[in-house]
Amino acid sequence: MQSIETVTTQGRRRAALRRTIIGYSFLTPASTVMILFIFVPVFMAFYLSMFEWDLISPMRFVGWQNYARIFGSSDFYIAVRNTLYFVLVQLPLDFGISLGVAMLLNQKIRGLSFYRTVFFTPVITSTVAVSAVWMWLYDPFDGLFNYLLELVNLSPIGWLNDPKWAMFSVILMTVWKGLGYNVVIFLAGLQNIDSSLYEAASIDGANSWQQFRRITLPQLSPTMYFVLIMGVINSFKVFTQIDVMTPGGGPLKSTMVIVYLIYMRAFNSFRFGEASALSVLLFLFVLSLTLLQRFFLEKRVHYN
Amino acid sequence: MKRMLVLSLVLALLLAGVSTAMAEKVTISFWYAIGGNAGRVFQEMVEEFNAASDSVFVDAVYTGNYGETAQKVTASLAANTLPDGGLIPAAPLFTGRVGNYLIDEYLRGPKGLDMDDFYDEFWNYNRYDGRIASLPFNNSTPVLFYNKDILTQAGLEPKAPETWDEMVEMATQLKEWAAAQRVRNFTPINMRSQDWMLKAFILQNGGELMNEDYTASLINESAAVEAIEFWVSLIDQGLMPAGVHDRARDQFIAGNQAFLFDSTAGIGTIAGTVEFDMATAMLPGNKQRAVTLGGAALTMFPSTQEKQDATWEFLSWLLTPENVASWSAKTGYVPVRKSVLESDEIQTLFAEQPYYKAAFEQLEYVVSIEHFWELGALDDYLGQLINNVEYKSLTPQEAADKLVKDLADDIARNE
Repeated sequence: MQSIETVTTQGRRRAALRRTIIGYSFLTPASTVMILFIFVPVFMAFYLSMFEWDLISPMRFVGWQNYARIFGSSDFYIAVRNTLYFVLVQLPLDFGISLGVAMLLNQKIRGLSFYRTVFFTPVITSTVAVSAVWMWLYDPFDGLFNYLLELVNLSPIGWLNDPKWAMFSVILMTVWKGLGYNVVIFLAGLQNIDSSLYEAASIDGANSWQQFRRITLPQLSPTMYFVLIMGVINSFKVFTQIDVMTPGGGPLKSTMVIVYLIYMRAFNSFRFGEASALSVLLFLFVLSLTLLQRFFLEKRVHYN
Repeated sequence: MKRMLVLSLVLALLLAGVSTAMAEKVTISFWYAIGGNAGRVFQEMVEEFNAASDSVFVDAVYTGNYGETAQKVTASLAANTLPDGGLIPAAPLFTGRVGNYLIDEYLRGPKGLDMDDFYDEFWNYNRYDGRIASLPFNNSTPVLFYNKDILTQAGLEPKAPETWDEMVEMATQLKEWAAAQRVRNFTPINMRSQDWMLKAFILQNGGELMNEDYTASLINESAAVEAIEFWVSLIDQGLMPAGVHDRARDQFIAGNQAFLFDSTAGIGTIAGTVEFDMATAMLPGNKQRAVTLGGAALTMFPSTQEKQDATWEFLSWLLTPENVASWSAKTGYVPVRKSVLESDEIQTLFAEQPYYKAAFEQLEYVVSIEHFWELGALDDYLGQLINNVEYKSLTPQEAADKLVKDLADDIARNE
């Protein structure tokens, strides 16, 4: 004979089981899509990186040869250097300018929503369209930038056509385009800071630099951490504007970043194995950078 | 009530009749990679064929530009979802490479085409591993466009240069004139599709791109290297800008450039836009005249015998002299059949738009190479070579050696 206790426990278990099933069934649509279109391709990339495959001829197992080939070719090192250049120049520029703009927009000034709209518009504009417009601005013959340089008696620049300037030109446009996104996130972070902190500080006689250093920065650190992590990942993934503005990898391969190299290997040379191996390397690279950032930075992040 | 019944019965019978007539037609799927005006002309031809034929229905689908279509065809080759036929870029690679020489078989079969009426070099362009794997249809060649107004203003005779030397001489005079007149942004010469143009320069100097069995590039031999050196000398003398070849057409249209090397496929656009007196001419030669060939090709993929026959019927219909003439006259693609040059339609085109005359008459100078698996790589490496020599990161000989080595590595890897 069952005791009342066991019956209720069973009932509770059954209820819990039902809840679990219902929970998973709600998750199923999203996770199916994720598994099919994200996780399976990710594992396929690992698998394919061991093969030589042009889609047309049969797959041929080559082991680690694709990796050996990548490390033995100059293209890989050029792409790594270009990617690092992009990340190391674009990220600080974007970070600094967007924080500054966010602090300006955090003031009580007139026409605030107008300015916010202005800064956010480039973010929602298609990258391809923006790239096309900037290509006109950068035009070496009759672009606006060279016209302005001419007005102040400076010699014209080749911009996207000059191996020395091409990457910087792409970065400039990327910063302009992405600025608004980080501005909005920083703004949200700034508005979350309790105004009583500033009031107390100013009563104690803290000047605005001290207020920024001692209140704004620590209080904003979770936001900054988020912006940094996302920024690093996005910078490593840069592709569209590179493909549109400097097709083929730019003059002397000066804008050939890792993702572009992957694209070229796969869809231009039809070397899917080598392209997959490159993607695996990029994945490991971004993963280890993110872990490093967590390790070194997260401790400094101040959560309320 | 009874009348209604009879009426509906008649209707049903009628419908059944129509549907059986439809069912008798063999439907073939067909992909084509040309958009814009040419795409519309092609679609019209398909409709004309469908209306005229009582046995074949062509279901033609536009599959995006050359690059997009090539990716689609590659993916369908892997997934076994190919159409029955297509007008696709690099067609011999998608057929000959996998042992599909259906075109060659039909060509030599009872319903074949009069192959002698087509230019030999056009057949060559459609070969893979020595055998014909596709049919020429929408081909173009490079041609020289020149701004007669600028030449006259600079005190030159408004005619095209016949040789490299003449071209350099004219361009130098233009450069001096522009400097004296302080003409802003002026460029004497520029070339669009630079890798394609460099190929023509190499051939004009008696050089060769590949060896006979397509196992090695010959671009580092002296005749080819001389052509590359000539190219660099144009830049060194300030006659051509480095690295801005993608802007060549716009600068010519804007009236800032005297000579433009561009595709015959651009004649319609350019002639319809410019506001000055323009003319076209054969490419200038050096040791010999030579022009390269570009464009997609018609081909067929394996299917049932019935569908293959139907596809051949459509393909050979597209290539009748009448259709080649009207296709060429309406789109500006070069006529692939010799006899078509004399046709009324082409002669009318010459009268109305004289720009096409030079383009079509230089066809006897076409030099082409077969399609081989590393052709795409060769074009990429040529682009890099131009980059390297124009920005002085390598000398012409070094850059040519690098190309030959890179291509050899690729060929060895694919064996």
